[in-house]
Amino acid sequence: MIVCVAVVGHQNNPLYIQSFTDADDALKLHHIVHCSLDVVDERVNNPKKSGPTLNETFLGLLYPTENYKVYGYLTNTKVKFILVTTDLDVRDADVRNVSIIVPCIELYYKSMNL
Amino acid sequence: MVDPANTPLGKMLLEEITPVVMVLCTPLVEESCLKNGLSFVQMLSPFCDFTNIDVPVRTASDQPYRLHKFKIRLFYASDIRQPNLEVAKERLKQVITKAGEDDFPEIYSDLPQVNDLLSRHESEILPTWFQFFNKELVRTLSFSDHEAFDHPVACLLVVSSRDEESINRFIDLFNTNKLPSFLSDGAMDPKVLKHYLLVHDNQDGASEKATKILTEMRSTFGPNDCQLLCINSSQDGQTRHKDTPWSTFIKNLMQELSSKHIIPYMEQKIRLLNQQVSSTRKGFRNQFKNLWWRKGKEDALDTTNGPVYTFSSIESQIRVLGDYAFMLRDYELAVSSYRLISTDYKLDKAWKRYAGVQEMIGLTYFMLDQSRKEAEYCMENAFNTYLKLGSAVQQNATRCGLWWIEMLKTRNQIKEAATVYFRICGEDLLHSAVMLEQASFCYLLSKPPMLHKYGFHLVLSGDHYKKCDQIKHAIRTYRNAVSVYRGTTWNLIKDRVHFHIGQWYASLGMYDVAVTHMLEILASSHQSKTSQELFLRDFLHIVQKTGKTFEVLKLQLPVINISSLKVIFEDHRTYASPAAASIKEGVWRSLEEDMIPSLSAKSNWLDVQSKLIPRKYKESNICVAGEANSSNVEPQNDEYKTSTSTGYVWLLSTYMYNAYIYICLYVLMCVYVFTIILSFGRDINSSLVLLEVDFSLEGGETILVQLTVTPRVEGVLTIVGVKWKLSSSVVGLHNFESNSVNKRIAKGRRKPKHSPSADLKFIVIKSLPRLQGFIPSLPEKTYAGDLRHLVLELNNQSKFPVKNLKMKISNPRFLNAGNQSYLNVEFSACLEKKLNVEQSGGHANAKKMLQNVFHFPEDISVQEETSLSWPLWFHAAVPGNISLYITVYYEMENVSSIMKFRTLRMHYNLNFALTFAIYVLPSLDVSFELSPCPSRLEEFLLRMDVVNKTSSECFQIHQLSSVGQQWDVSLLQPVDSILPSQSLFAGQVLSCFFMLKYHRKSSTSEDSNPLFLQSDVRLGPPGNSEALFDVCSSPLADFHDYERLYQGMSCQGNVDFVFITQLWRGNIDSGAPHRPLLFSHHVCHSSLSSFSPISWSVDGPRTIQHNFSASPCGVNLKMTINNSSDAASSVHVKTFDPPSSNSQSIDATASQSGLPLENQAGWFSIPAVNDTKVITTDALAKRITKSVSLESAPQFIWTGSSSTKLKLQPRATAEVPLQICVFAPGIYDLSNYALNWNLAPIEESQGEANKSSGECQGYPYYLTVLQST
Repeated sequence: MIVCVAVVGHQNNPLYIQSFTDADDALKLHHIVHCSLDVVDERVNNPKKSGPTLNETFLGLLYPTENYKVYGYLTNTKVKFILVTTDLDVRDADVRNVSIIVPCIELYYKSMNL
Repeated sequence: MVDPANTPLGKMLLEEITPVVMVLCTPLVEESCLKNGLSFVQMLSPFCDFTNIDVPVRTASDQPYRLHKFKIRLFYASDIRQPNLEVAKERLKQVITKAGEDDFPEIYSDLPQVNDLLSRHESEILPTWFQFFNKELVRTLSFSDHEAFDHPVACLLVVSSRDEESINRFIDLFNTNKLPSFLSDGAMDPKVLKHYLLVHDNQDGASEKATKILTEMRSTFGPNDCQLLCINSSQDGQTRHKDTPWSTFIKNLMQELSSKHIIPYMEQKIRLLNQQVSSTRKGFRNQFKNLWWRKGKEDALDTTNGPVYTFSSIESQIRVLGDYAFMLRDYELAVSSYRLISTDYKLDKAWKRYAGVQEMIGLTYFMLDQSRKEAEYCMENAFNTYLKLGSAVQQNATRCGLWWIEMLKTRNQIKEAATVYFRICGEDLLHSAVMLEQASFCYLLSKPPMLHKYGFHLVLSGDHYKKCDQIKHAIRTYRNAVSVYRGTTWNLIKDRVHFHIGQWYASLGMYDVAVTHMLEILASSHQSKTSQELFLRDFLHIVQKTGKTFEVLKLQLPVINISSLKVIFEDHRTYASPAAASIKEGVWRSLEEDMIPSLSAKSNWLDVQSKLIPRKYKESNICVAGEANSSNVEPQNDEYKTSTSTGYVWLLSTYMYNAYIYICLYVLMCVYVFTIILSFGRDINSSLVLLEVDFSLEGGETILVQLTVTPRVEGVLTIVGVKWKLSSSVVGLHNFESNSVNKRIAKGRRKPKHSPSADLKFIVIKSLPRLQGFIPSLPEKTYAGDLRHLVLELNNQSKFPVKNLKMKISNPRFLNAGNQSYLNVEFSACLEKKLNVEQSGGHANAKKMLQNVFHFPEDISVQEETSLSWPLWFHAAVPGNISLYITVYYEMENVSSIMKFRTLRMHYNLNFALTFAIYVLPSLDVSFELSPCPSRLEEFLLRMDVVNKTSSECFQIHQLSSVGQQWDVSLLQPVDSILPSQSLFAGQVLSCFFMLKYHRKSSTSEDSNPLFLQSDVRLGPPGNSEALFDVCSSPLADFHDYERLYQGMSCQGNVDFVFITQLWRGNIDSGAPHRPLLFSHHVCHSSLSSFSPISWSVDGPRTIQHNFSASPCGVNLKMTINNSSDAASSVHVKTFDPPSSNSQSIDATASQSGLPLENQAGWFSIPAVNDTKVITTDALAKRITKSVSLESAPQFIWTGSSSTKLKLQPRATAEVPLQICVFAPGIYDLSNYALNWNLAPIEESQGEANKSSGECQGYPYYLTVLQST
């Protein structure tokens, strides 16, 4: 289950954070998203380390926490899409292919009137 | 790469993994030592660390090497056991608590800055107690039985010379059951190296006895293993340690013990063990055998800790071999031993031992500084294995993790170290907190720094600390976290961090700091309502606890919308109301343009002023003493959705006093206050007086607060800022000038370089007269057509009269200045038509309309402290929203006589302006339609359609007037028949017909009294004697002129109507209910020009008796032709005989064909015969037609000229004689003629509506010819 979707601006400022859980864990998810920005920065600054996903906007699994997996996507304008899921056995390809992030990005562009 | 031994981990290992010497001593030994305040072990310990022992060592290999650094650890036998977990925890907790006290940040120290942290060295950032805590944590794991390096290598037996039977005591010491458990339970070889020490206290006397005992000992235990130690050289025990010569004895003793006993013993044991291991385990055969053997053992042993290994088992021996080799720094041997045993333990599923060995392999590799990957792998393996074993070995995992972290840190893998810290966190919250905090510092120190994670781990750590009641630690970590979140828009996190810091400080009773943190979260508009309520409640609670009133520079509750700050002040402009002040300056300017004498008046005054005012104040605004300045400040309470905060807002103002300008002119002091003046004095502080405005704001509410300053004396007034009090405990302060946002000054003269500070600075000049004015009972809402009498009141409260008043009204269609004589008249009665009153003013109006400026009569002035009333007429001309701008211009007299520049001031003109917004509702929709009477000259039928468009009002129709003195209006039928009640109810439609007759001036005699004209028609009931209103005099005439102006172009030949109704109900407005409201509707330019300019009528006999037997009958007719246009025209009258067939058919269409097509819907005069006659004549005519057609001969012919041409001058009439000859009796329609007319072109065009030529068919004219008998 996707518990949180976040759009973070290129200054690492939150543009949109929406959690999909009933529990009062907004703060926690904010922390997780905020925290994952370090990993995004790291991947962006060291593209070698990201290996096969070189030059791709899909950042893949950013980092696994105890209960969540965090995925990231980076647009050309350095806007980040962060996806927090509870599916611990999900594969990168699934996130990419099942088109979870892509519709999010399309919606974002629509909202930007692009 | 640095020497591994010099790295932190290396140092730690060299310190912690060293041979242990077990100390057994008698109570008397302790007693002697305690004289120095030390235990025996404490006394010896400082001498156990040898930096340069320089001992040759040869272990398994033949190659000897030299050992330089060496350390032994001394422990009492009673201490050589696994520490009690609870006690250890308690000790660690104390360490943390103490560290929390020591490391607690200063109350008023600044919050750490990220950049500052990053620029500092690691050692400056990292709290020093981490190292200490980690060491203590590792120590809680001492003396576990699966690790041989904590097993005692030697045993030091100590007996005092005072002890009786010293020799026996030595033996007893070792045989007591005080020995560590693993000596007795077989985990360790009980045959350890023993060393015997006799302690002699010099205070007990000479050492002869001791020497004697020593000799005895040597003979019993061997000569090399016994030593004598003499302590306490001085008698009183007060001597300084430096002077004690016996400290060197101890040093030598320990060095000898190490180099001559312990190290050789270990060497020997290593060689022995190695030999055994080689013989049993090395070589292919042995390995195979071992595997085979272990495989068989596998099924039998299935305990969680694996099999029990006694000291004599080959596994334990290998482990001892490894540990001894490690301690003697033969790392090659150590690692080979560990590797050998590792697989054994793994096969035996002795996981704890396996992990312990893996750990040691990792550390040994590290010390060897080779196969780094392998080292890390081993550490991870060990760590994971420990973790799998559960909470029982959590401490082992912790220690392993800490060593692993140190290893990673040494290799600059700081991020990885952080993750290990994170993984160390177990069930113990307090330890986890410390680990998380250390992890956070790893992220901070990693390159590049990972600040997000730094913050996150600090917050996690803080939460853990909080759960363990380590509030000070929690505050410290959260304070560090602030540095990460400050300045970002991660408000949810940021607010929580500040909130918790505030809360925790409050729980420590440090309310002042708590408040500063709580202040940060007050503007949390994004937070949920519950959060906001929680924040505010806690904040106020804390503030109350402090018992102080805080003054906060940037209190964010409520939010002040600084862009809404507006300072309204009056210089040459004064305002009647704040509403007037908010009108754009341009509107007023355009209105005042032609009223203010010239711009030079203003600029002259300013120029002179600027000579007197230093440059500094040149751009300041000018306001007049005694007049209020208002600041509107708009606080916005958009964050707290329901909570109500009550508070005060006041404007803080100070003044600047400049002696240079004003000292010669005015009094020395100036004080600026709100509406009430309070104090004078030279002391600035005492002259500052504040007025409070009380208001409360609901959540999300925005209100505009207006504050007023009235300067009483001359000087310079500066508006500094605004201050408000939140819930009577927190004072917010907003300094306007500190804000760089450009302030809007409503009326300030805009200059290119307009600094905000200049906007808020005012030069206060001496008091000047100021008119106040208002219009009482001006309706706010009314119906279109409403006509009212209003009074403008001008009030002069100053001591000086003003004169030369002028007034301009923006919209004269709605509001007009009246004549002074109307001031006290009774309304509506004054409008009534009066007999014998000369009509006047009609021409004066034209002038007024041109310039729109109303000049009050010369002799009118407003004297000091009096007021002036002036009548105004109001007419709601059209529906809609109407804004009226009124400016009144006046000049002062005799002001500023004490001033040098008095003459100039004389010409300083103050305007006075009023503005009103009125909403006019639609009322009656009146339209008129005119049709000419076909057979009458210059008579028209007028149809008036009235629709009542109001929703509820009932209008009483009163009067219809035509404007001008050229038209007679008369009712065609009494109003009773159409509208018996004379009331027009809501939605009702009325159509009414009138006859309109042009009253030609030329045709009337010169002395004809215009009053005989029926230009007004009373629409009331016949018996009503109510006077008619005079539409020809002011104000109706004035308003009518404006209406004419607005409703279109004025052209000749048009008629204007004024329709007057009354409304008896006073419910529109609070105006006098007993008087009817008067409504006048002006419809102008009802056009006549669309009709033919030529009209005519045929006069002649209608009935003739003639004897046709005698002769045909000749009839003379007269046609009167009128030219109503302004152009000369030529008219051509043609008559033509009817065709033989159907010429006489009386056809309705034929009779109407003479009219222009577009007027067919109009009104036509029916011949003056009654209905019955028409029918009979019709019947007769048909018959005649029939007969005529049979005879097929015309019954009459036109005689005389069949074509007449004539010229008609403008507005002239001419007569044309016509004659017919009738042959037989009958009724004849004499319409078979036509008029062709041509207008001569005129120089100035009259508009396209006028036709230049046309042809008209004749009107029906019926002639009855009877046979006379």
